[in-house]
Amino acid sequence: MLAPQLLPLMFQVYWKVRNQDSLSHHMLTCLVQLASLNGGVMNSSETRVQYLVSYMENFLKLLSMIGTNFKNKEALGISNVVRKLQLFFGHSFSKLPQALHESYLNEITRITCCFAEGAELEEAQLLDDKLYVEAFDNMLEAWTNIFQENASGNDTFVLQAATRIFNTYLKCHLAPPDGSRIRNDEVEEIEDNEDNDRIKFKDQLQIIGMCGRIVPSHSLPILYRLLEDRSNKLKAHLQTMQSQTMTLSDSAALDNLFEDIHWIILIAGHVLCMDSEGEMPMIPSEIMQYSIEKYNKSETNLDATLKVLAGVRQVVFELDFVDQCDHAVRVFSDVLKLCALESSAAEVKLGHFMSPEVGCTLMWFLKRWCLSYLLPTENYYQEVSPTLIGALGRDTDGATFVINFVLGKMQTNIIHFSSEPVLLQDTVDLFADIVCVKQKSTYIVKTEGLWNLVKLQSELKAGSLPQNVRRGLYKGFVLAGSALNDPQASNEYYQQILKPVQSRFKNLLCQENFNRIYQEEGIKNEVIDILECFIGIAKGSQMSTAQILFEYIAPILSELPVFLNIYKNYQVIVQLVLELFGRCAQHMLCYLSVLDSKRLYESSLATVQVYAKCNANRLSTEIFSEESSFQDLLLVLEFLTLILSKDCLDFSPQVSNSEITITAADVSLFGLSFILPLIKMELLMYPSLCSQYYKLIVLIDDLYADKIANLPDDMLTQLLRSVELGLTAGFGSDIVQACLDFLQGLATHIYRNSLQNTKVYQAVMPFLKLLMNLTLSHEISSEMMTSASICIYALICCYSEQYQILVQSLIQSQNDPLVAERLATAFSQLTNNVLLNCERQPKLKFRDNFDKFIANVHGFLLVK
Amino acid sequence: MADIEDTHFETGDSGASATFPMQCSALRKNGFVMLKSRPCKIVEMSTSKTGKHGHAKVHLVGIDIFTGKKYEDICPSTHNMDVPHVKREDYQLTDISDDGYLCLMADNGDLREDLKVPEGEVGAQLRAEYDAGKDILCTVLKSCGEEVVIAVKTNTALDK
Repeated sequence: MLAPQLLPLMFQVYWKVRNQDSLSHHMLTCLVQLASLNGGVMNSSETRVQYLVSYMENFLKLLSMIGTNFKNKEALGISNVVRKLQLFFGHSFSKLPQALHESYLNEITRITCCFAEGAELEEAQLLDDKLYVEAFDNMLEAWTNIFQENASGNDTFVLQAATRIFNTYLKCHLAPPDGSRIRNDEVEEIEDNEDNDRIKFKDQLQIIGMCGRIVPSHSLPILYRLLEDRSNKLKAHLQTMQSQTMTLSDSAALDNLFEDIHWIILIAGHVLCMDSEGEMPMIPSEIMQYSIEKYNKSETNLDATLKVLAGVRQVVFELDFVDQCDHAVRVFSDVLKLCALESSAAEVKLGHFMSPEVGCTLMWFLKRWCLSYLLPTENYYQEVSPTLIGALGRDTDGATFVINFVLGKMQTNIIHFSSEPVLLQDTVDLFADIVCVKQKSTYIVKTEGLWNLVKLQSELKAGSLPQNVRRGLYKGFVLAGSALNDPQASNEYYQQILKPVQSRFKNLLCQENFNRIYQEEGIKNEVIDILECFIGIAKGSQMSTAQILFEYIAPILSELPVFLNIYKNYQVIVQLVLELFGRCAQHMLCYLSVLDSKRLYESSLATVQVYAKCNANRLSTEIFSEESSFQDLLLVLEFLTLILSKDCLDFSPQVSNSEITITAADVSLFGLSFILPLIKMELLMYPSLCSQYYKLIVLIDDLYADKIANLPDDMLTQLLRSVELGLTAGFGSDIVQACLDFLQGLATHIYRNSLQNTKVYQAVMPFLKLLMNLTLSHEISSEMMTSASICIYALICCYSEQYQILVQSLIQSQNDPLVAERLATAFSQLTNNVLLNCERQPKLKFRDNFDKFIANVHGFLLVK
Repeated sequence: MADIEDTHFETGDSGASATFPMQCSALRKNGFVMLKSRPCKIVEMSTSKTGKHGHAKVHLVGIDIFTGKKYEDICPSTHNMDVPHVKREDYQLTDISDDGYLCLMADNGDLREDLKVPEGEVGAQLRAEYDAGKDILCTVLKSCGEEVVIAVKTNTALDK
């Protein structure tokens, strides 16, 4: 393998067959394999380096021969070579001769840029085969490793590479003359559930952001210059549009401009901030360092930075002091100016010319920026930049200004872009995400902006916002309040936020003529709106606030059973009521005290009961009635499952078990007993309902097999019938698995508690025969066999006599005496030396025996 | 007070419009909307846009609440759509006339005999249960001047 002739030969062969599609692919695969050569053959680090040097020399020769003329699938193979080299030889690179390493970095930078351009071309042409896209992604993956190895970041070649890649990527996404983006003239219809660019290109953008952070002195000035240039152009456009009508070419130019802005912001957002899922969002150290350096060299100062920030509403870009502004803040200010521009366009009725996509990207950028830069916690950093801290730190006017600006922008979006559901969703997400961070919400609750927002939304007519916006806002309001540690302040805050909603509900219900006017559309819209608010409140609940929030929600919940009865014929309202209970169970229940939990249980059970009562024995002519029942029942089942989580996860103040008179499982089962009659066979054909149902019963069985065992006859029969159905009706292997788990749990419970001569004992008995038949007749697929065998074992432990009878009858039913004999032997081997005590050891032994048994029996029973 | 209530009852919907406008983006699934001049229940609702920087359009699939026919429409999300006033009220069944009319009693005791026994399975069940002497509730759907029994429910003693 390590013979010095091998690698040159392989590369030469590849070059020879390169033009023959049938061979070139295999040869290239060979090269990829060789790039990951590893294991025993590499016995010393010298060998590794030697091999790498040889590979590298040949590889670079190949690249220089290819130049930029990649064959169709070649790019992908080459990119894989680089990725593999980086993965398997990453540590040996530093030992390469300097010149070789440098020309390698040079070459792969060149091909990365080349692939980036190819990728852009593929995206623009909407090709199905995205070879260059994939090749580019591979290269970026390799670069991540290179950048990480070079964490100190002083290698000029790495800096150059980062600069070149950053530039190329930016160029690919900008329209000519600055860039080379290809205009796609086809206007396509885009569904809103399609991934947007920030999700589709997330990985790419993250690494480009990394490139940008390696060379902030290069990337940040480019970004703010571009932003300022495009914003100026947009401003000019808007000014012309106010006086003239727009032509088709104007509209195309505007679209081009929006696309540029969209991409610059996306890239800027990734350079300035890192993804922080599950972590505390921080200012990246490179940006912090850069800001400190600039400040120390007196190239930037706080005063100019603050002035730029304070002037964003004027949307003026040519300022004397702007050059002394901190670069990161300057990019941010430019984005704020774009927000201001968008808002002012909307105010002069030009909002319909603005791009909702850009609006979403702006919201996304603000979210990212605010999470990392706004009110940073100083002691998380080794060193802090005086400009960044001075402009956006705690107790600064800058921070207050930014909060008010962002909240003000949310207001404008809600007023002027209420017809854009996606934009509004991003707007409320921005809000909820920022207030989630306590250091920030402590300040937010004190700002004027927040109270303006509260006021604005309370004045909006019910039914004027897209679905989910109201609940998103209330979730945010409620989350923001959790920052208030002082109980009195917290009470006052929630009083101001929640009391009005509560009163709206009470006023509505207490109207003298409510019984007559409840069907009026205005009233129904009001009801929907209030329920949306409460769902939001429940969703925003946290450990520290659950108790106080519940005080506001509980009186409403207790009215809901009656309410549901009134609105039983209006599905939207019925579902919102059910959803509200679901959200309370999901977000509040685990923090509630025993007493409060009981209040929630009572209201929810009464509601489920009313729902069941209204829908039992009901027959409808409407063709969507089945779909409606399905949707409703799914919500009920989800809710009953969520309730159960209380028994798994409980953060409420510790109490002795004796105080708990009612457990979540009781509630779930009781609730289930009401709706079980409504779950018809045809409804179980809906996969989501089916899996939710079986998930619920298995969960109850896992936690409280005794409660299942003690169910009233009717319900036990129904439950077991549904288990039988689950095993036989072909709902899919997940459901079979659930049913097996259910039976195994129940049978084990019966055995361990010696429940012979009980109803449940009798009721479960038929399953032994059923399961034996199903396994023998192949109706349970082989991957389920392990679960099936464990389940059968538990059943045999309970019903050993019946098992013997079953075995005998199976043997006797064989016509062929030879087969009968073999079957008898097989059965005796199955339980040979297996203790029937439901313990782990014999269970595992039985499982192994059963595998052999099934293989054996299937063999001769099938032959017959 | 009494005469005000009476007036209200009399003019309940004769003078009022059968629909009211609502911004398209604020509609919701399972709510109602007029599609091709028919009152429909929205069974599917999605948004899309023309071109990346275009504005939202709402795609609606609705089912005629009386005929069960399916209609679709697509409209800019800024536009207003007509939403029908839809009432669904429960009545107690007191009698079935020989010519197939139902005698129904409202919650307030008012009687009406202007609705027919629904067709198909529901109608058959309604007759059978009525003949068996069961307590029956009929849900009457009313919208855009049309009115029909859309569901029947047998009351068991427990329900009351």
